[in-house]
Amino acid sequence: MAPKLKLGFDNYAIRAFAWKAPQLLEYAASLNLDTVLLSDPDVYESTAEPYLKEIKSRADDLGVEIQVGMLSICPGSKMFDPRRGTAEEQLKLTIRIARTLGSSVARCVLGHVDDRKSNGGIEARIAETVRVLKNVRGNALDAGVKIAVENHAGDMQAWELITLIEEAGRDFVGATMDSGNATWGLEDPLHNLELLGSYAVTTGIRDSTVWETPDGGMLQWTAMGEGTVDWKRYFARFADLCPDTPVQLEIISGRPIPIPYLRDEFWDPYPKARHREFMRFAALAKRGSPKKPFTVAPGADTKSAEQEFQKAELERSVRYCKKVLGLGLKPG
Amino acid sequence: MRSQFLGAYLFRHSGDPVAVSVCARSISLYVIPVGKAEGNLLLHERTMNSTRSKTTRRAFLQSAAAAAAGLAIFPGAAAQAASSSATGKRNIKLGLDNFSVRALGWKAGQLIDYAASLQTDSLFITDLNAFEKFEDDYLQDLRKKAADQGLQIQLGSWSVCPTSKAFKKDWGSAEEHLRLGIRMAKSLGSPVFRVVLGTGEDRLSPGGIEERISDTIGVCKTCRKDALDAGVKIAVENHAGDMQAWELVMLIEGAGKEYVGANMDSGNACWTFEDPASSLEILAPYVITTSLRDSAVWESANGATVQWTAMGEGTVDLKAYFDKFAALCPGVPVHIETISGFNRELQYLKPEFWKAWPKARASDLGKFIALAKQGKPREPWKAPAGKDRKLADQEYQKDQIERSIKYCKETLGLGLK
Repeated sequence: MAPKLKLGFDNYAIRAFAWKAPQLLEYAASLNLDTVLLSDPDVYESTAEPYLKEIKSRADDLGVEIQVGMLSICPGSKMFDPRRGTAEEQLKLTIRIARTLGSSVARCVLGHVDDRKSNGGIEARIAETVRVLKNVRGNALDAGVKIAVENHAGDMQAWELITLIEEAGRDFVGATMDSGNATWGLEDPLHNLELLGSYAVTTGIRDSTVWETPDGGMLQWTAMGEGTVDWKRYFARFADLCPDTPVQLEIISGRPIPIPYLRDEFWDPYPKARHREFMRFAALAKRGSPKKPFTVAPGADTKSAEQEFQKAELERSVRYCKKVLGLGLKPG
Repeated sequence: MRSQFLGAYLFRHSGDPVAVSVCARSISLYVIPVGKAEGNLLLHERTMNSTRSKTTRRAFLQSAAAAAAGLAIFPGAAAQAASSSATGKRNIKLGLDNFSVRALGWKAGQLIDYAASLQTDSLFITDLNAFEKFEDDYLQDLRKKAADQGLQIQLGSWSVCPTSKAFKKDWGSAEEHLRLGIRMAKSLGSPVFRVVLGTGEDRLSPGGIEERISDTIGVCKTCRKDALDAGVKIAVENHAGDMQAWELVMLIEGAGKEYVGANMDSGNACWTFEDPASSLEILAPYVITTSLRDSAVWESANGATVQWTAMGEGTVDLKAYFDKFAALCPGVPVHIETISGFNRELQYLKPEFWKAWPKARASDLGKFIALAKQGKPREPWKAPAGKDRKLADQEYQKDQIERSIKYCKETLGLGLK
C-alpha cells in the first residue's frame, strides 16, 4: 500500500482574502488539512519571536504543520524586491522564521519567465542565486532548515533547477516542486516529477490544461482533477520518490497564459531547452481542450467574486485530493 | 589558448568563398558587418561542446539590408547583384545530383549528356559506381566532355566513418576511400568531394552520434594534407537522419574548416526534425555544395510525417529559402536531389524517440512543428498497376527531376543558362 501523503495548501491559493497567519491556520484546520505553506512573508503581523511562537503554539493546537516561504532571492531578477533588504538578509530572516515556526523548509524562488530574457539569460540568474544560497549555508544548516527553491512562473525547467541545487549544495538546498509551473516551463508535470521528485522538500500542486493555438499553446491552470494531468499516476510516483514531502495545493485557476512556441522569437530565451521535455509538453497540448478564463460577472464586486472563486477552487481541489486520490493524513 | 569566436562574416569574391572569422585575438581582412551582435546575420556562439546558431528569421530580415549594403565593398559583386535583380535571375548555378535518377543506372558519360540536355550548370555525381574507371585519363576526358557542354562536375561518395553501420569496404579503408575521392575530384575539376557519416541508425550505436562524429573527424584529419594539396574540400553531408545542423557544424569545426565544409541537404534536415530554413541559417557559413529537394511535412498521430517532393510541391517556402540562400551562400551551386514519393513518420511524440536525440534542442522541434502545421497529408507514390516497376521508377524519377529543374529555373530564378 502506498504511504499516505500529507495534504495542505499554499496561502497563495486564497490570496484575495489577504488573511494573516492565524486566519490561515484556522482555515486549514477547518478543511482537516495536515499542513499549510505560508509562502508570503506579509502573512505575519510581526517577525518578533514571541509573535511567531504564538503562531507555532496555535498551529500545534490545531494539528497543522507550518511550512514557511518567501519570494525572490535572486538580486538580478526582475522579481527581486530590494526594499526588503539584501537577498541574504531576506533569506536569513525567512530561515529564522522557519526555525521558530517549526518549518523544516524555507521556500523561495529565483524569479519569473522574463528573467530568461535578461542579460546573460537564466544561467546568469542561476549563478547569482547560487552565490546567495552559499552565503547563507551556515544559517540554514545551523537552523536545520532546507532552502526550497521553486521552479517558479516559467523561470527554470526541472533540469535547470537541479543544476542550481547541485551547484549550491544538496545538503542545504532542495526543491519546491510546482506542477503548474512545470507546464509554464514547457514540461509535462509527470516528467517534471520524475526529475525533481528526489529533490522535492515541499510542493506547489495544481492541475493544468494546455491546448494548441495557432501560435503554439495556451496554458490554464485548474482545480485538481479538472485539467489534463493524470493525478493517480502522478501521486503513485510521488509516493515512491518523495513520500515525506507534503502536497501543498496552490490553485491558481482561470488565468490563460500564452506559450507561442510556433513563433521563432519564442525560443530565444530557451537556447538549451531540450527536445525530451518539449516533446512531452507538445503531446500534452495535443490532448487538451480550451478552457474559459475566470471573469467577474458584470456588476459583481470584483474582490468578493475573486474570493469566492478562489475558495471554491481550493475546496473542490481538497475534496478531490482526499476522496479521489486518497491524500491527507486526516479524515475527509 | 583558444581565440574567442565573435562572429563569422561570409562572402564570396569573384566566385571564391571568403569566410572571415572575427576573433578576440585577430580580425581578418574583408570584414563586412551585417548587423549588431544579437541580430547578426551569421553570429554563432561556440563552446568546446556546442555550436549554436543565434540567427533567427527576424535577425535575418534585419540583417538582409545590411548584407546588401555590404555588397558595395566588392564592385563586381554589387554589379552582379544589380544584374540579378534586373533579370529576376539569382546568378546561382543549378544542377542535379545523380541520385535523382538512380533507377536509370547511368554512367558518368550518360549523366553528363542528361545534365546538358536539361541546360544545367553543374552535375553532382555522388556515387563512385557511376565511373567505369578511376584512372586520371578517363576522369580528365569526362571533365573535358562536361566542360565542352558548359558543365562543371562535382564529385561525391559514401560513408567515411569506419564505425558507421553504413560504412562499406568497397573502396578500402575510410582513409583510402577519402584519398581516392580527393584524387578523383582533382582530376574531374571538382572543388569538393562529398562524403557522409552514416544514417540515423548510427545515433543509437555505442557512444551515440558523438563518437561517430569523433571517428569521422579522425579520418578527415588523417587526410587533411591530401585535401589541401589537391585544393579539394571535403564536403560532409547531413545525411539520412544522422546529424542535425549543429552537430555537422561541430564535426566541421572539429576537423578544420580550412579543408572541410558542408554538403547541405534540405530534405535530410526534415528527417532530423529541422525546418530547412533553420538548417540553412546554421550551416550557411560552412556550406560548399548542396543536395536540395522540397519536403511535404504534416502532423500525424505520433509526431509528423515527411514526404520528399519535387521542387515547389512541398511545404517549404522556397522563395524565402533561396532569398536567404542567395544572401548567405553566394557562389555555392544548387544541386537538386529529388527522392520523392514515400512517407516517413518522425515519432517524436513517443517517449522512446528521444533516446537517439539526447542533446536535441526544443527550439529545433518547435520550428519544425510550425512547419508541419502548414502541411497536409499525402499518399505515397505508387507505380501504375500493371506497369514494369523498374520502368515506372525510371519515368517517375525523370519526371520529378525535370519538373524540379523547370521550377527552379522558371519560378525561383536559379541557374546561369
